[in-house]
Amino acid sequence: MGQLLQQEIFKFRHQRLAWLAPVILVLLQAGLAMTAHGTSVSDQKFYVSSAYGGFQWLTILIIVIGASCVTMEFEYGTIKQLAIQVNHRWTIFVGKYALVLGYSVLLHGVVILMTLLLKERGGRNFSWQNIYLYHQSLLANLVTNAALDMYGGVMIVGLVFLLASCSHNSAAAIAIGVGVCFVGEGVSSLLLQSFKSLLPVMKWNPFNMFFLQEEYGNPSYQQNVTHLTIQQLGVGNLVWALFFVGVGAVIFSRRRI
Amino acid sequence: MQRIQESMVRVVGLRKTFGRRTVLHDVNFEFSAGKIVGLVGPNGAGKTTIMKALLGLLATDAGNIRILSQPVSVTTHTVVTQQVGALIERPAIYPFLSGWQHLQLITNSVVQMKWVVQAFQMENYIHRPAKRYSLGMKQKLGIAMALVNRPRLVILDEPMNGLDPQSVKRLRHLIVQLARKGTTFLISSHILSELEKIIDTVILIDQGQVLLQRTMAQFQESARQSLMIRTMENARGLRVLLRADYPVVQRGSDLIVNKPVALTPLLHTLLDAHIQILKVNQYQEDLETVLLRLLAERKA
Ligand SMILES: Nc1ncnc2c1ncn2[C@@H]1O[C@H](COP(=O)(O)OP(=O)(O)OP(=O)(O)O)[C@@H](O)[C@H]1O
Ligand SMILES: [Mg+2]
Repeated sequence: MGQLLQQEIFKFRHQRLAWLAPVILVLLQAGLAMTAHGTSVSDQKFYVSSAYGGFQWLTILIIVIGASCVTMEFEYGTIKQLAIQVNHRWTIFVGKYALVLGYSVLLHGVVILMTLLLKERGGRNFSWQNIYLYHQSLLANLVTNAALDMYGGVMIVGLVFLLASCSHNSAAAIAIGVGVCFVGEGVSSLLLQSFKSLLPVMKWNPFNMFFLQEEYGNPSYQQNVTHLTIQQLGVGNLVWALFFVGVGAVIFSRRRI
Repeated sequence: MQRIQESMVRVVGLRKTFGRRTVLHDVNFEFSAGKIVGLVGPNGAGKTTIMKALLGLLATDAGNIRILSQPVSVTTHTVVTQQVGALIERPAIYPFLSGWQHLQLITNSVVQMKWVVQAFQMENYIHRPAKRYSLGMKQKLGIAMALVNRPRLVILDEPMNGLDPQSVKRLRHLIVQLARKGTTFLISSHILSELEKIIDTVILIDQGQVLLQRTMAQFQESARQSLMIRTMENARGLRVLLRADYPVVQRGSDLIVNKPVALTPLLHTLLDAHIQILKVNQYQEDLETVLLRLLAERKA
């Protein structure tokens, strides 16, 4: 597994997207920061705690990277070479999953650093120590948001990997992945509102788990939207992640090459 | 089959179906270490499928595959991961990596990487990204990747695809050299003339079945020999030879004897009848002709 992961890292860092992604993120954050600095202090605090939109962009980038990292092996026909180097093909899948999660951690670091810098330049009229949500400092809020976003990524990347191991080109997997992540929440709310009687079961649907981070930012979501506590959302995310990765790994290993 | 030598590959009763189509029926063959084995057959015969099965890339429906006496299947193929190098169908190439980086993915030994780069004369472009390679450059890199680890068994599917004549020659030379040192090769190709010069054993397959497995020596024996004779008076020569019970036919301006015969008595027969001989030529069927004949005979 160690050697496999090393190989994956080697391939990954020679891809342009691996180096481009942080640059794109930083630019997008800076763009939003410029408009944000003219707004009220409370709005600014919201922007800061959500890393100037960085987490959202990061999710899109991770979906793109995750999907192409799986489908490229089939596109280039390199899966055969990989498969004869390991005894079980699912180890390749899990190795890639670990790589993308690791990269997600790195990117979150970049996003946090950039947020610190951007606030230094623009938001001087309030401090990191100011108490924001949950009686915690603004900085603590930012870090918690990052952690929750990373945690949510565990399920999202799992879902994208599952989609990618079913599809024949990365574009399809990316499109569906991005679509699901951004429409999924709406679909879930709609489901929960339409089938009130099935609520006890329906509230565990995977799309509902996307609300993890938002529920932290808007505690009222528990009553109105998700009907699950933060802890329950956390467990749900993990269980669905395991499910997606498990099914994805089986499909990946069975795929004809 | 010689039992003294170590068996490299042993396939027994291999069967593979895609949906309702059976593409391999009861495939059996075996060969020992240090051999260069040619896997030949027409398009769609099942060559690539057999090779994939040997590498544990393909779930099979029945049969038993062993490499160096160790079992091979989709889930157990430790022997493949350790002892086998392969190029299947098209080279496995990432456009964003250079040739050198591809080799790095497979081995840590710079010495071996340098050796293989030199062997295929890839020095000029090995550090360029592979997306800028030509077809033949990619093919060479693919073969280099199969060889760079110096595996005991090398499986090459149509390795000559896209190679220029010099490169083909160099590849042949390299294969023979490595085989002398004990590497075993299983090579598929439909350009038989390219294989003929180097292989020890031929496995002929058609429609998912092994038609025959023979050593080249056995082939040479079974290859038909024919004699071509041109005389001043072919019509009379034909009569004379037929009367002497030679299996002879006239084709164009030549008389053809389709059996191995002793030359001197035949010439005597003609000369005794005062027929002037212009030209005598002896032909031996090459591998390709023999194989095509065998395939045609099977169809008939
Ligand atoms: N994925 C697949 N699904 C269905 N049938 C397949 C598949 N792969 C191969 N086949 C069939 O299996 C048979 C053998 O194919 P294979 O690729 O092994 O032939 P081959 O001998 O390598 O031919 P070629 O000389 O053209 O490379 C063919 O009839 C082909 O149609
Ligand atoms: Mg083939």
